[in-house]
Amino acid sequence: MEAEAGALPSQGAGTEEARAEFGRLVEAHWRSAYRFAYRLTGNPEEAADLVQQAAEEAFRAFSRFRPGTRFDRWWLRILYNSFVDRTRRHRRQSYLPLDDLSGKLSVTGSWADPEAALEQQLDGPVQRALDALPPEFRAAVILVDVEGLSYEEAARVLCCPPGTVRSRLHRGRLALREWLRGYVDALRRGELG
Amino acid sequence: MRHPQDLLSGYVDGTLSAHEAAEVAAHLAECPSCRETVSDLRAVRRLLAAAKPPDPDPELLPRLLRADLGARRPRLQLGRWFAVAAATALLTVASARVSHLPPGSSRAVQELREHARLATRTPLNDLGLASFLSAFLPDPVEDNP
Repeated sequence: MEAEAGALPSQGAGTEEARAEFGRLVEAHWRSAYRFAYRLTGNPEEAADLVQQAAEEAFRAFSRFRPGTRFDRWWLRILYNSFVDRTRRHRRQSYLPLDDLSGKLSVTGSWADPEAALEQQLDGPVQRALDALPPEFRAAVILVDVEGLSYEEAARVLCCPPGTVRSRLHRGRLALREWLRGYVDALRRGELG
Repeated sequence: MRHPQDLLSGYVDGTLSAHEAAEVAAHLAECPSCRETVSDLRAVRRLLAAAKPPDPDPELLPRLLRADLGARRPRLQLGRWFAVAAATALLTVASARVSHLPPGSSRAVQELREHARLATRTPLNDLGLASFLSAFLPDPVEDNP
């Protein structure tokens, strides 16, 4: 695993060097933080707000960041905790039960049609399917399948054992398979990607 | 072997031990439905990797680089505790009033009264109050693993 360059002496977050180092790390990793936030929230404004909140929290806790470990993973973990906190506070969204494999979602909208699928961007449908997953399943799928983290890395971000990552990932993928059935079949027939 | 369930995802991701992988492979050789699932799981993985999220607003980075300013603001320390004290007082008073409502026919009112009675006795154990207060209290930030 690649370690962060520029090891900090163990100083508080208040010093100029710490601020400069924090800025450098944020600049290097803000895009992946935003991608994670966008996939979690499904909404550009909310994603930006979440990243901003996570950056402020990361800065306040920066003296506890261990130089030589991956800043991006640490930041994602803070971001995920903030996200979980938000979803608990505003429980506005309803998720589809994972056992409901009736493909309810996949029949809504023209994107279920493989012909249309060829021309459309995948982002909208994939995001809508992710939005319908319960957050902890969504997060496991995003970290592993979108961000390419290993089970162990994802487990550290989500604060759960790697075995839990695997089972959430698997159940999440099975639900997505049904909800994105038109795309999955098109892909398997070689009509996509 | 029974259907290997989430081992199938592990198999697709190449994260199984050699022993587990061999077991799954042996099962796949005999089980068309699990073979089907494996092909689907691969397709789902490719779909997710292929979908491109929109680029972030370029204005976001400068805002993030000012995160230290946001973090250094003497953020509501006093205001926060004032809010906590005010909320506690307010809810205690409100609870006390509700608990003295005349007996009503509605079950909801009775439950509310029961809740209020308990909340008045131990306001800091009150779940509703706790969740209200959680909006003001600082979030715990954990150390990196």
